[in-house]
Amino acid sequence: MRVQSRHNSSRKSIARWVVLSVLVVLIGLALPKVFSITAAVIMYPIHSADVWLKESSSLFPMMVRDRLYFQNKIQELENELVIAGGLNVTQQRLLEENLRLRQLLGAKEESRILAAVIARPDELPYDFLQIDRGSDHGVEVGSPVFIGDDVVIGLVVHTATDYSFVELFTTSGFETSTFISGPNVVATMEGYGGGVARVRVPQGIPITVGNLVYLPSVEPGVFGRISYVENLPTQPEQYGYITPEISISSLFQVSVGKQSQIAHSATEIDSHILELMKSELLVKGLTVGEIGTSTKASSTPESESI
Amino acid sequence: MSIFLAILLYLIITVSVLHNWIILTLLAGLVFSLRYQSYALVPLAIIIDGYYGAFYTFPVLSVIAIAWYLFIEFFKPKLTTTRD
Repeated sequence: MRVQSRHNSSRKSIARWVVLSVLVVLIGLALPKVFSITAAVIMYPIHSADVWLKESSSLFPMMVRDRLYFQNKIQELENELVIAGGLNVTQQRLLEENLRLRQLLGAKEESRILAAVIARPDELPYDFLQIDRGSDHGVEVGSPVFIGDDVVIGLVVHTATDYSFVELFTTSGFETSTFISGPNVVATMEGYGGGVARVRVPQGIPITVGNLVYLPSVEPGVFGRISYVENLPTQPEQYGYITPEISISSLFQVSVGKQSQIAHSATEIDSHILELMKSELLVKGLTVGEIGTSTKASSTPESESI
Repeated sequence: MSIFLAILLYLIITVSVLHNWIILTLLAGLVFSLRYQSYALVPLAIIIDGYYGAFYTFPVLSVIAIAWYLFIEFFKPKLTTTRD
């Protein structure tokens, strides 16, 4: 009997609280402005503490903010590391597949010459390198120069017996055809000087930072990534600026390829064939008179016999 | 000690609601409701709704707090009986 009465009183108490709360909520809905002002006054100390924690430059809030920031950063980097690990595996798989397919197609592995960089733009004019391998070691003028596996940075322009000079693609005025992956367009890359080259493409082609720039004439030939895009709506063209993956001042060793790694343009091949034809068809040491005499002498008995 | 813990939990609930830390709010709210009287959460919810101007539209937090109070008061005696 007593238990039931306790239950009843408890239920009454709950009902009272619920009715009271609902009433307050209804009053709040009727007078929202009064409730907002009252709540703002009551919450003022908490609001101040919150603002202090979020914006103050005092030691404690800064420490809390830094801690939270670094925690988030660590989380982000850990995620990136996991993704990069996956990408690394994919990259390795693709590399092996590429090598296997190339071998199946009969592609030859080009030999390269390892060379150390002995002078760079501090001592030389900008965008030139001097390497410690020359014609004695098999370096030829026009050979491509690589950093890493497939990043081509320039061409050999002069060879001595034991050293050579390399002109980088970033040399002012140097022009070459490139292929920009992403928008998949072919564009002319021009050296801009100071370790920077740029590609110019018409407006509307979506070049973005990070697009890879290939040199189709060199095999294998990646030059770098677009690191900045200059796009002014008033200009008919937009520019993508490219810098090599490694700065020139950090270059220590490079590898020099063979001239055969550079593909020639159709015009170049045509003129070469024309020159060959001229040299092959030209019979030296003969005059018109001699040809005429020999023809006459040889043809007479043949015509008579017929 | 008990009062101190109640105040601490109350403040934790307030701050976690303001910062939208849902899991902490739920945990602190549950502990507070089981150890103390859960109707104390209703005024807090009303104040926070007022602070965010929810009375101009619909005071979601207040309604949730009332529902939570009913839910806890319904289950609390059963939990106590089981423990006894």
